[in-house]
Amino acid sequence: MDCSKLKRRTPVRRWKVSTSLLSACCATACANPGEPTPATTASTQQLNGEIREPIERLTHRSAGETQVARDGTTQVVDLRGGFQSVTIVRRNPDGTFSGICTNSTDDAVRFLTSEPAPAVEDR
Amino acid sequence: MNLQRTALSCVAVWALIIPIQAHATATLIIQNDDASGTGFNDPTPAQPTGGNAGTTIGQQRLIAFKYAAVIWGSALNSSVTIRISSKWDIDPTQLCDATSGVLGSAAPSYVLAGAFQYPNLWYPEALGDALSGTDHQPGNPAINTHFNSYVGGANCLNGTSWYYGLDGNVQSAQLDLVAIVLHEFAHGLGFFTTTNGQDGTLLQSRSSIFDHYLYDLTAAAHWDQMTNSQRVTSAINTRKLVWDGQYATAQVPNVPLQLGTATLTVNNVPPLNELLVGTASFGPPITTTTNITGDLQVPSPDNFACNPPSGSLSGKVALIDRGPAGSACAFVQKVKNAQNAGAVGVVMVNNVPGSPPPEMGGNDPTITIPSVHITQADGTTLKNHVGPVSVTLRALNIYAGADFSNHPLLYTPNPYRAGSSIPHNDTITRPHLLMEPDYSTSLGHNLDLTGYFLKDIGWVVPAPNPSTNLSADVAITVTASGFRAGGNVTYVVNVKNNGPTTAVDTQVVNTAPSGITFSSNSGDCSTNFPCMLGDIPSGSSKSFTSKFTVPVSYTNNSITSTFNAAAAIPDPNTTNNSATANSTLGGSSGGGCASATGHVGLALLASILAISFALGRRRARVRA
Repeated sequence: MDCSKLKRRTPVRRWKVSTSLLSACCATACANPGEPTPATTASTQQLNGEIREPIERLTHRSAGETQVARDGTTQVVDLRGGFQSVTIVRRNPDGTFSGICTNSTDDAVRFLTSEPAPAVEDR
Repeated sequence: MNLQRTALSCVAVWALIIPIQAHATATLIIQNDDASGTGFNDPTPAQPTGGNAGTTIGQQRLIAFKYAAVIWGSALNSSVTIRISSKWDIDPTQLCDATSGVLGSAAPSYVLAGAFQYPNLWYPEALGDALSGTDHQPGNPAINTHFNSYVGGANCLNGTSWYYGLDGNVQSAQLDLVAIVLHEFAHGLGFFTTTNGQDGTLLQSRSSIFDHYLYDLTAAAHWDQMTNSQRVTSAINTRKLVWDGQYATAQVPNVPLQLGTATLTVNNVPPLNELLVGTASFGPPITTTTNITGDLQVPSPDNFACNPPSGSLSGKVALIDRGPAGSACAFVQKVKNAQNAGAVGVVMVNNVPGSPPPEMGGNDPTITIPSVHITQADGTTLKNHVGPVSVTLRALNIYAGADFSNHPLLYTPNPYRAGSSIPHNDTITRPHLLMEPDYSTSLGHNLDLTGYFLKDIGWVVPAPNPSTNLSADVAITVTASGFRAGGNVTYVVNVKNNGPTTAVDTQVVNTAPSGITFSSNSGDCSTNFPCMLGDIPSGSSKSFTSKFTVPVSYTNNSITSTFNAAAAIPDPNTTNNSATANSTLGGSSGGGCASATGHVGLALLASILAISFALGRRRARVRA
C-alpha cells in the first residue's frame, strides 16, 4: 500500500492520478494498511510508470552495434548513455539515510515508491 | 628588447625547473555539460565550506567534482586523458520527492575489446585507453555522469542538502558529494559489468573484465566461464560470490577489515553447518571470543515470544519467530522475554523469504544475552528437524566482508537486487567500503579496497590510497618591464604549483595600479582579470604576459603592481601567493624574477573568488 507516497508525490510530479482515485484509495486502503485494493494497484502501476521512463533513460541496456576502432583491432561498443549505476537515497523517519546503487529500473522504481522505514528494522 | 629577453629568460628558468613528475598519474577532466545558469553554472552565491573555496553553488559543485577527479587521478596511471561528461540534469519532478530521490549515476560511455590481455572480454573505455595509450573515442567522454541539483529544494529530500566541502566533515542531514562522486567515478573506471546478473546474459557474447574475477565458491567457477543460468544462480548465492583478484585479496588484512564474522553453527544437523546471520544492535556483540552453545527451544505457548514463555528456557537458545506481521512486538521485547525465562541466547527466524537475514535494530541496555537473525528457510529447516538441535553463537575468525581466503565478498542478496548486487562490496563488510551499495555518511574520501579492485582488472595503480587531504602550494612570481608615459608596462606572470596535488581552478587577480589601465593578457591567460588558469598539475607552471597602458599624463617615476594567485583547494603555504613588481620610468624592475612579497589574506582570497565568480558563470565548459 502506497497511499502516502501517492499523496506526497502527486503535486510535484504532475502525475495523472485523479483526485477521486486518490481520495478513494486513501479513504479505504490507508485506513487498513496491508490490504491493497484494486484502485491502489492501478495507481501504483501508474506511479511506477511515471518513474520508470526517466530511470530507464539511465539504466537501459540497448547498446550500439560493435564497431572496429581506427587501429583496426579494437572493437568498440557505444553504451549509449545506459548501463548507469544509479545512487538513490531515502531519508528515514529517524533522520538516517538508506540507499541503494542500482542499474535496474525495477529496483530503482521499487525503492523510490517504497515507504520510509527505519534504516534497521526493530521488529 | 630588454623586456623580451627578461621575459624569455624567466620563462626559460621556469621551464628548466619544472620537474618530471615522480609519480605517474591520470588526468580526469570534468567536462561541464550543463546549460548556462544551471548545475555547475548555477550562480547562486555560497559561503566557502569545508575547504571548498567556491563562492557560488556551481563553483562548489565543480570544485567537488574536480577534487574527486584529482583523488582518482592521484591513484591511477593513464597517458590518455579521461574525460568525464558531467551534468546536473536529473529531473526532480520525476525522480525526487520529500523523502527519497536519485542522487546521481555513472557508467562508462563505451566498452572496448580485442586488444588487451583478455581479448574476449569487455574493458571500460578509460581502462582500455590507458592500457593501449590510445584514446579510442577522441573528443568523446569515457565516462558519463548525471547528478541531481535539486536535493534539499522544494519537495526533493526535504531537510537534506548536498555537502560540497572537501574535508568529509558531513553532518547528519547532509549528503557528501565528494564521496558519492568518488563512488560513481569508480563505476565509470571499471567497477562495473555489462553482464546482466538478473538473466545472466552477456553484452554481445562477451563478459566484462570485472566478471573474470567473480568467483563462485559453490560452482567453483568464474563468471566469464559460466552459462547464463549459472550466473543467475550465482548472482543470488549470498556471500558465496567472491573477488579473487590478487591485489584486493592481499589488501583485506591491511585495509584492514574487521576480524570476526558472526555465524550460527549448527552442531548436529550436518547439511546446515554455518548459517548466515544478521546481528543485533542490542545485547553483547558477537566477537571471536563469543561461544554460546545450547539446544534450540521454541518458546511456548507464544512462538513469537511477545509474551513471557510459560516454561523455563534455562540453558537453552530460544528459537523465536519474527513478527507477527503488523504487530508492535519489537526484537528487544522478544529477546528480553527469552532472557527472563533463562535463555542463554536467541535465534530469531525471519518471517519473510530472502537472504541475507537483516540486522536487528532496537536498544535495551538490560539485555545481556546475544542474539542472531537467520533466514526463514534456515529457520524452517531447524524447526522441522526431529530431535534436539545444538547450536553455537560465535564469530568465525575471518574478516567481515571476506571469505576464509581473504577474498572480498560481492553483494549477492536473494532475491536479486540488480545493480545493487554484483558490482558492489557486500554490506556485511566492516568498516564500510566506498563500493558498498548503500550510502553511508561516515565513509570519508578513502578509496580503501577500490583501487586494488581496479588494479586487479588491469589498471596501473601507483597509489591505491592517495592522500585525501589534498592541497596545492601555489607560488606566483612576476617580472616587470620599464615604462614611459604614453607607452606600456608589461608583466610576465608565472604561477607554479609546488604540489603535492593538482592545483584546481587556479586564478590570478590584479587590480590596475592607479593611473594606468589594463590592455591585454596573452599566454596561458588571454582574458581580463581574474585570469582563469584552470588546473595546474603538481610541479607544473602556467604563465602569461600582462600589458597595461600608461597614459601620456602619467607623472610618477614608478609603478607598483601586485598579483595574487589562488587555487580552489587548500594551500599549505600562502606566503607565496602574492607577488609585487616595481616598474621604473625608463628602466625595468631590476632584472630577474620578482620574489613573493606578501601573502593573500582570507579577505583577499574571498575577493579573488568573488570576482572570478562572474567570469566563472560564463564558462560553459571546464575544458573545451
